[in-house]
Formats: sequence, C-alpha cells, structure tokens
Amino acid sequence: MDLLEPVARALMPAGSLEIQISRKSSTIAPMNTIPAIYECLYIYMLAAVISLGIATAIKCIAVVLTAQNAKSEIK
Amino acid sequence: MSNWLEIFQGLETLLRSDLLLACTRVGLIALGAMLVYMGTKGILEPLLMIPMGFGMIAVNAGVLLLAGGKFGTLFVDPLITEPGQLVDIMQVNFLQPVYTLTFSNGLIACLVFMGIGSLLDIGYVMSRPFESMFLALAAELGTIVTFPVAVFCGLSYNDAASIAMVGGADGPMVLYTSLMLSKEIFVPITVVAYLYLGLTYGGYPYLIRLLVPKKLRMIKPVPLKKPAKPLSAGIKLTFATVACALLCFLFPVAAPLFLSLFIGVAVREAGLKEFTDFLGGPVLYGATFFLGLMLGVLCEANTLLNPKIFTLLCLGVFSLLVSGIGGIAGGYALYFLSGRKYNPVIGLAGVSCVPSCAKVAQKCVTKDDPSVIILPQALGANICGVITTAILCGIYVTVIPLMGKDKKHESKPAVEVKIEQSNPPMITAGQEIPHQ
Repeated sequence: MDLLEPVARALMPAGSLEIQISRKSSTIAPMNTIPAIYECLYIYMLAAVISLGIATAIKCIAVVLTAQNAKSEIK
Repeated sequence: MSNWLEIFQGLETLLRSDLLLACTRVGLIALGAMLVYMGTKGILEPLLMIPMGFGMIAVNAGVLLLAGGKFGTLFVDPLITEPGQLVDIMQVNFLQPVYTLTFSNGLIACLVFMGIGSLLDIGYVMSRPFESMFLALAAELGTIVTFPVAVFCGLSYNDAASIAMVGGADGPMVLYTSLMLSKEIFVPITVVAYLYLGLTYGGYPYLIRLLVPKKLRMIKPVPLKKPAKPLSAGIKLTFATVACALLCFLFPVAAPLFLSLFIGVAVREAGLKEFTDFLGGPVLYGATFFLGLMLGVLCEANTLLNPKIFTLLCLGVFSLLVSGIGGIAGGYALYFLSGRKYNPVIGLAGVSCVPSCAKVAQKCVTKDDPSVIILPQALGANICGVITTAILCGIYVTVIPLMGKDKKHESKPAVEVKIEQSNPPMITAGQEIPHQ
C-alpha cells in the first residue's frame, strides 16, 4: 500500500537504497475503488483508535481528578 | 443612447449570455429567494441562510460588463491567486479582502470553531465518554463510506475526501478540508455542504420516523448508576489541554482547528467571562454572518457551472444520509447492548451538527412523549461528533497527500516511483539546512 512509502522513506538507511514501487494501471477511476475501500477502512480504524483513546483519557482524567478533589475535601 | 440595455447592465449581461448561463443565473436568484424565505420561516437555519440567500441573489443579478467585454461582478473573484492581481482586485471587489484574508486561509472556519468551543459544555461528554464517542464514531459512517463511492464516481482522492467530509455535517470542517485538499473545487464543495447542513434540520426527523418505531422513540433514558457529581472546571480544563496537545501532536496540519475548538472550551472553563462572551457573541455571530454572505456571493453561476457539481450534489446528500443511518444504527447497537433500555434516537445526535442534531433528536422524541428528555445524552454524542469529525479531518488532510494517489489524470499505464539516495549528509543541531 502507498501508505508504506513515507514509512520506507523515513526508515531508509544511510547507505544507498533504491525502492521501486510499481502500481498497476490507475487511469480509470473505478480501478481505484478497491484500494480506496481498504484505505477508508484504515482511516476509520485510525479514527476509532484515537477517539476511544480520547474517551479513555477523559475517563482517567475525570476519575483521577475527582478522587484528588475528594481527598482534599476530606483533609 | 444606442441601446437602452446598456444602462441596465445586469439585464444586458443576462440577455447576452448563453442560455445555460442565463438559466443558471435566474435559477440561483430564485434559490436565493427561497433560502431567505425558508430561513425567515425557520425551516432552515436563518443565521446562515438569510445572508447566503441575499448574497446569491445579489451576485447573480449584479453581473456587469468589465474591461475587455468580460462579464463579472464587484463582489469577489475566487479564482485569482497571482499576488499582483490580488492586490489590484482587493481595491475593486468589496468582499475580496474578507475572502482573501479570512476565507481562503481557513481563518473564518477557525473563528466559528472558537465560538462553538466557547459554547460547548464538555461535562456532557465526560459523564458518558465511551457511549458518546461510540455514537459519534457510528455517525461518521457517511464520512467513511462516501470516500470510496466518490472515487468510484471518478473523483480524485483529494476531492473524494473533501466531499466525504460533508458526512461529518460540520461546515467549518468541510471548508477546512476542501481548502487543504481541493483548492480548485472548494467553492462548490463548501456551498453544497452548507446547503445540505441547512437541510439536515428538515430532513433528519423523517429519517428518525422511518427507522425508529414510535415505541422505541418513547424509551426514557436510564439514569446513571451513581448520580455523577458535577465535574469541576479544572477537570474540564485539564481535558481540553491534554486533548488539544495530543491531537496537535498527531495531526499538525489540522492544528489550527484543534486549537480553535479547545481554546474556546478552555476560555469557558477558565471562567474568563469577557472572552467567553466575546467568542460566543461577536466572534461567532460575526464569522457566521460573513461566512453565509461569502458563501452566497460565491454561488455565482459561472463558478457553479462546474462539470463535477452534479456528482458533488449527489455525494453530499448520500454522505449525510449514510451518517444519519450510521448514527441511528449506533443507537440501535446501544439499545440491544443495554437490554433494550436505550433510546436509539440519541444515535442521530452523533452527527456533529452542533447543536442542531441534538435538538432534532429531542424534538422528535418530544412529539411522541413530552416527558422523555434525551437532550443531555444527545448533547454528549453531539460534542463527541465534533471531536471525531475534527479527528477525521486531521486524518484525511494528513493521510490523503501521503497516499500519493491523486493521479487520476495520469496517462501512463504504470507509475514507477524511484527513490535513490546515496550517503546523505548528516545534519546536526544548529547546522543550517541547505535549500533544495
């Protein structure tokens, strides 16, 4: 997948390296549809992971800070 | 005077232009009048539709003959990008400074977002974070599904991502994405998006009635097991700070949007009343007014006679429809998971048109049983919808250019990417990076 291309660039060793990526014909738009489906699934999964990560962070912040508040109230 | 029409140039240009252009101009004037009427009656969002309708009427009626016999207006020319011409035109077109300095760089979208942020109470999200986020993710179905459909319809990856964002039902976000990815067609995409966002207010109640039976619409939400203590402003402020920093780290391209949203939240939670009033009042309403007016004057027949417009119109409505269905499907999932105690209508509020979708959900429920109050849950899902749409905007804007697939017009049967590197020089801290 093309997503790997920037990763490959980033990980390129200091020596000479040659990467050749050949793609099949992409001149007709519908030919791109199958990769687009995979890529949109990838995007959705990424969004889901980040969103649920944020939800977890919200829960953690709420729990930790509420507990701290309660502790200081008792003191 | 050889020709009396020369005095009334709006009429002259109408009669001298070809039939398609003339009909489009008349049609858009009629559409503008309809938007004003529907805005006044409250069928569509009046804050946006009235300035937009007036802009459409004026720009399509006020076409005149410019130097060289060209047709044009004295409002705005979105197609000029050359700096010298831009400076000249800013002194002629009265809305050009607003367009160039606030619209085409996404500032107006950010201003609207600051205002929205200052009105959001994230306490609704914080009391039920997973439930709200799940519904918001489900309601992004249109944003996801439309992307491959748009590619199938022949749009490039960039254009497909821009029109797919309509499914997020968040105008500033569509504006921002299309500015970043599809500068050539961002005008039709944004106009389509805002026209449809007005329609969600009228269209989604029918979707709810179609997909959710009356019995389920009347389910009363189950209260939380432990009645939650009201969250302190410090907790909300901490969340806004952490979320802003995290999202800016992940998607620097969409950092202006994240900053705008969370600074609004932070200002509210920090108790800066003057700033909250400023962002939620003059900034939000001023930006919305100019956004509506600008969208109206951008609805010029010439700009909208783009061969892609029909595809964009169809994909826009498809995207919003699928998002609505996705939201309700998310509501149904929670209905079954909760042992049939959850009102599926709340799912629709996951579509991030704040606060319209939450209000639509509550209105539909109130019609059947006025004692059912789902607004707190709906607002939580709605606010999470804004966050997930911002995340998806960040992902699209970051990932789509990396995919390097915007090669629809390539004529070569196969594309070869060849990267050659031989012993690149090490760059150390403090060393100046040579210009390529």
